[in-house]
Amino acid sequence: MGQSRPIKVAVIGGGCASMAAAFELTRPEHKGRYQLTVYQTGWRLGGKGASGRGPAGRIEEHGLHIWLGYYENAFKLLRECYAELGAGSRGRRHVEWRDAFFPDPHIAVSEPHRHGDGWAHLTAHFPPADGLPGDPPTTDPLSLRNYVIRSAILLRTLLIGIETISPLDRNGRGRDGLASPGAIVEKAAFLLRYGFLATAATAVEALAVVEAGLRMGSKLPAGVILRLVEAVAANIKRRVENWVAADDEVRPRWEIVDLVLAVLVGIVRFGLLTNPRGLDAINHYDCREWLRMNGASEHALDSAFLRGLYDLVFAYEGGDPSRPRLAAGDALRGGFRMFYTYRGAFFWKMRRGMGDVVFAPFYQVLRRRGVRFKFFHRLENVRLSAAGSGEGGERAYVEALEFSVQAKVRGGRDYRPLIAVNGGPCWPSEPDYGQLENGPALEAEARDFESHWERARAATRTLRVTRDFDFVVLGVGLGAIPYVCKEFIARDSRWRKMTANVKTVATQAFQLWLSEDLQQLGWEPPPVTLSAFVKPFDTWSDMGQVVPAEGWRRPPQTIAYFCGALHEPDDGETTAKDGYYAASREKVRSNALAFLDHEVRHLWPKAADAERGFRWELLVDVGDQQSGEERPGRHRRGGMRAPDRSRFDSQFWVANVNPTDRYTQSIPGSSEHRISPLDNTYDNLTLAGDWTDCGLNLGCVEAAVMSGRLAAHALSGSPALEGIIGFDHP
Amino acid sequence: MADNRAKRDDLPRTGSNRTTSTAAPTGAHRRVIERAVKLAYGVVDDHILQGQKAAERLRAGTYSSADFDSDLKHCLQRALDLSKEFGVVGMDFVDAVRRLAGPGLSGGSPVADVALEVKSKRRNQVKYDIRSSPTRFSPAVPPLHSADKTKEPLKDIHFVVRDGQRPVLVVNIPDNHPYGVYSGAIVDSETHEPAGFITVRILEDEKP
Repeated sequence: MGQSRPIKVAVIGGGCASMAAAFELTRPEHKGRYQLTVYQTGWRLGGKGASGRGPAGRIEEHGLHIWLGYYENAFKLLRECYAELGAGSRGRRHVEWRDAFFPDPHIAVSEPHRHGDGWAHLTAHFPPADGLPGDPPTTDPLSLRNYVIRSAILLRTLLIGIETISPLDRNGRGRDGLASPGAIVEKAAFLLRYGFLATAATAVEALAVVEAGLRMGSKLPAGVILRLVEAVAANIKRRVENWVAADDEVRPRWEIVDLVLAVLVGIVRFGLLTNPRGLDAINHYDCREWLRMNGASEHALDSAFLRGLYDLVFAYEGGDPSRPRLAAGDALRGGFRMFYTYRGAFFWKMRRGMGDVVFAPFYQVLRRRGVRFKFFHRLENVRLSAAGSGEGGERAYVEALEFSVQAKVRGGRDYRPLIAVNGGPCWPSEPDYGQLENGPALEAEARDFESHWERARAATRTLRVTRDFDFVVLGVGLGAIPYVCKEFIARDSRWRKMTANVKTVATQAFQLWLSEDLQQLGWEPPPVTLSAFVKPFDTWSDMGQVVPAEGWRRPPQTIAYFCGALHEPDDGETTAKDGYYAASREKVRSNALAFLDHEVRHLWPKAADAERGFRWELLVDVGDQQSGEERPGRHRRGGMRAPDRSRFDSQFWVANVNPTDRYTQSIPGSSEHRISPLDNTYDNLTLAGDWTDCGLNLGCVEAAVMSGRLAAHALSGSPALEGIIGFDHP
Repeated sequence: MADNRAKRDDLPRTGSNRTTSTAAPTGAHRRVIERAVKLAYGVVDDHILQGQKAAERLRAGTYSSADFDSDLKHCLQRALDLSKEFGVVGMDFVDAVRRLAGPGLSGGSPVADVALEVKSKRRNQVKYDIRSSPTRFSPAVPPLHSADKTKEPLKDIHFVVRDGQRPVLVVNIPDNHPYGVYSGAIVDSETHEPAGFITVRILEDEKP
């Protein structure tokens, strides 16, 4: 760049990727070289991770947010942010990052009973792993060889720790306390069944040795080793599969063994250990398709474990449950990272809203560093210079940024976005109209500043290159790109391919505040995050830990978040219409009501029954508490009438159909069309978001933070690429 | 207006480096791999065979608590044997990797070229690793022991070295010797320093 004046950087969007880029570019080491302004639609930061505080100070999220133990980049930056916040608090009370998160080792998946009605829930406890996420990296590389060796360890963990919870167990078929005359024989049979599984694990261990050797060679005798490895796997499967398929207790463990064996065979067959493209080499296959090619059984391909993996990343094209699609390489990379590289705990859950835990601290620290925030700025267009207009082969560049100013702040001051709930800084679920010009009128209109379809504005604003900015970090969601980057798409085939091939999906979620705890609802295992359940809300997480962070007079006993992909019409016309957002919200409401009446009893047997449906009186209604009526059994508008489905309206639900709220998918064949933040086609622009080519290429916080760090590297050369953990992953 | 605009520097690379090691394999390396795979075969077959026998007895209603005790003991024994077997494979592998690192680091030489002659009516597997050619020293094999101390060691194992011919490792397994894994060192008979190791596995006879 070769210039000494400060560089003005416009950061568009306030999600994880943008905050990571801003945090990196304003590190003290840069000595103020980069002067940042963040432009944000509406009144709060966070993007898809934004949360707000609603009535009774309750936390209202876009969906379920849980950080995984392998989010090294995300935890590293957040921990540094908390440390800086604490160092600058001058003795005032501040929260440590360990207070904001707690480790959760429990994960569960569900599958329908093969013999009759109901669902079985398979819970696993993942033991604590060394270190904490965000600690300095160990010398252990993220290599396929290590993953294959860890496969054997994982199998042992699952064999020991997985537990099947089903009505059969409760009726006395448990492993302990057998009192029948044939108890000893039954126990022996049980152990022998485990002997079978140990057989598989042993074979995998042998294969791990094989793999360790294979990793070091690139010109092995063609097909010889592969045939041997395949034969071992086939041998085990042929002898064991049919035997265990009929046993509900053993089968889930076997299905995982089956999948791991297919992965090992596939790694050898496709030469992934030495392929310079790493796991990208199989990204044109769907994960299930690839596993099937490598010998996975149909039982295993339909297993709760694999369905849970698809659910975790909303891998349903168009939100349609009948169209599961997930790129095999991206899935394996994510799976390996998730299961084999977590530190501390498998899951880390937040004790407050994601906005409170993540974006409020980033906002505070960045403000201290001198970053300016411009709320109520909706990006409308990124204007390009004339193509190839420059002399000496100058590249095209961003010439201007065109915004709608949604509302003006009174007195031309900066908008102050945070409020305090229980002493902690939070984002409200609605803007503070008192700070806005014509605030009462805007409030009366109930203007939705975050809606794509809300076009009203107070003014327009155009930022021009050199005058207002030098560099741009484009950190909007992928769904917004077709609207704000029309000139790129018209002129650049790579951008056309990216927007055509990298897909997003709408999601849906609802939150319940409940007057009975999990045990009273009939859920006996520990509080979990559960997946692979009934569509469309295939994922549930108990969020009882956030109750103390909310502001209830009479606290609920627990809180439950449900989420899943939202099936949308295929035609773009419907989704573009003004009423689409409201219609989608109504659809989510309807889905949630049906789910509670008909499906939730498979999780919480005491919350509903097949005849009368859900016990609506379980829902804690904010209106009751605000009006002084605290008996949860009464309906706020219906006197002593028994609560009915309308009580659900007191809860919270969301349809994430806004383009910027849509979830980024990893469809087969799409990763190659992603554009990297390091790409320098437009030499004053970089991209940031989990939709970019960032090394992980999955829709998640970690990918977003990696992308933000890459964007910072693109502009400043820092951080070093080697310091972005996982970027150079095979 | 944009004449003096700032421009990003071009970067040395714009994507992930997903390449893994491409070191070429060696013959020793391949041998280790093949041995590991064959071992996997043997282990799997052995486990499954045992399980099938027990399952058949269960189905026939002839399984008793005494059988359970016996099977449990057998399981433990197999676990012990397995750990030894994998220990051997692990040593093989480490040694192969060490050799791959090159002579400057390894200080060793390729596996010696030795012929094997097993005299036995029992089903068996023999594995060995000798770091120097037996033509350069006088090799000897002390008795090979089992982890199960109640089992007699295997004693009749020796080398036959004739000038100008390939050395022969002769393994004699008595007909009534108990099944199991027996292992030990190959030593230089003059210095008594280890020059390699050997494992003999006597498999259970197949019942008609």
